[in-house]
Amino acid sequence: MDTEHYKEMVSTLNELEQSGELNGKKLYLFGHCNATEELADLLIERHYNPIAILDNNTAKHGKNYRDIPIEAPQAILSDDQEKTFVCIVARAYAAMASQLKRLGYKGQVRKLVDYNSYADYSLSEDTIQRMKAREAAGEKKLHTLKKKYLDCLVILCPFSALGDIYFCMSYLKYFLEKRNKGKCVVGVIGNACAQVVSLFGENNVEIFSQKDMDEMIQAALFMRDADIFIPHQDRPYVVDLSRALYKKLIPLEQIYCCGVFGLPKGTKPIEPFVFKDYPALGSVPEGKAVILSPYAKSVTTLPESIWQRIVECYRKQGYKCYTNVAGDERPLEETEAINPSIAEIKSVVERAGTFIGIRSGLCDVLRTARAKKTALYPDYNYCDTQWKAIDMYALEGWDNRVVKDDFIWRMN
Amino acid sequence: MPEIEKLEKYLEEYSLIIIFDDRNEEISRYKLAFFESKPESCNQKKVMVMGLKDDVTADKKGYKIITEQEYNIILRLYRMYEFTDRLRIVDFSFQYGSMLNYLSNDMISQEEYFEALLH
Repeated sequence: MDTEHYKEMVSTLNELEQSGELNGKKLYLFGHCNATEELADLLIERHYNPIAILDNNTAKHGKNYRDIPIEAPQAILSDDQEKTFVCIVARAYAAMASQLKRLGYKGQVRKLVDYNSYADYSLSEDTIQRMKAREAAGEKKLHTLKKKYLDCLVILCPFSALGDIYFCMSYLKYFLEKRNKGKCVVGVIGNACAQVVSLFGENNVEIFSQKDMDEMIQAALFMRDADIFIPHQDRPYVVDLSRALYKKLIPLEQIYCCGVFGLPKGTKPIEPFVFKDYPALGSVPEGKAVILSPYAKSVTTLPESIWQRIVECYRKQGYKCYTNVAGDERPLEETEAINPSIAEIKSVVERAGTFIGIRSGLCDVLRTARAKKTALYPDYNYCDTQWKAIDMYALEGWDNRVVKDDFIWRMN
Repeated sequence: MPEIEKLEKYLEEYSLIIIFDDRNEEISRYKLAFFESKPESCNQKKVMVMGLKDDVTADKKGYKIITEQEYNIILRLYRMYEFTDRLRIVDFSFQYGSMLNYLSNDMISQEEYFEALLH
């Protein structure tokens, strides 16, 4: 969960506590995902005991997170509903609230984070007017953008994930040729995503907040503006590409190449080429250092003990260990913090000689780095499909390892 | 607006509504193939399929013909915001990718496409 959403979650929980709405209530969470785990952590920290995490994915039933069982949504019906309270931080809040209502659940449901400003499952006049106003706000912002970039195809990236931007940029050039468009502007959320765009050469890039991006995308859909393209596998709600995963495994890169951009299978991706040297490169022992990347926004974190063991192994071998950090992330114990930019991190990894990271978009940025590279995959399913993360985005040429409960780090 | 009231009723009654924009020839063929193939998942949920043409010759159960006006009203709302997760619109778009690209690339079969649509 990114910082802004985390703050929103904490703030909403504070409000609920102050209003007394949670007093005497049994808490249920809905939708097992990284964000829900963060909510569970927060609740446990505040001495709540969530009863269960409800989830439609039957493969998860019977498992648990920090002793909180994962159960089918119907499980809540066997509880005294007046005494229950469902908290949701997952993206599909509207669908989940609707499902609970259809099941006959009469208790309270509350979203603690607004992840999906596109959705409101109501056709009331009030809702329609409110959403029309939202769309109109998006039209104004789009108009300003298009006026600044005349004759450009506008690419709007709906989600702040480095890997999504990486895949988009890997195939965008071919897509522009297909559309006979010489120029484009790429809209992204956040500076880090803008940096990924810049790895692929001089491109027009604009940074927006999530709210502004959502409004512009909604306006683009409403106006059916053919000069705007939204390259994503499942956002916004009109995009159905991920549905195919219920029937067939299609790795994420192929989803972008063939599903998003409609390019032939086997189209060779463009590699990024604008990298810079980290200014303090000389301080990194050449070939005798390891860069660790334990943090990723939308990925289940791995137990700290795993990283501790990795650090221990490398220190015993005389390696200097670094933790790649951003913002207020802490370096792992016995490691030094390092904070290269997106363009600089390749130089750091190549100098160090070894990279070990949780599988995230940062690994995509490092695809072409000449070093020993290991990607660690928490053992989770991709969305609510049967496919594991490693099925969806294993990296060629890397040491790809799935971290299950019995995982022990061993040096190759 | 009566069309919205009708839509609300359909959404309450059906687990899924699929609208094929059969003004496009290729989409029209997919719609007909959908009825010819009768995917397995159709038996597991209450599905309504909508189209603008009266051309389904296979078992038409669950098929409703709508007018262009009705379609445009639904489409306008659909593009304004996500008012349900029970609606699928099958049409080509210049603005985003879709499973129809997988079909043209032979990455999924028509049967797999229909089953995915119904999920």
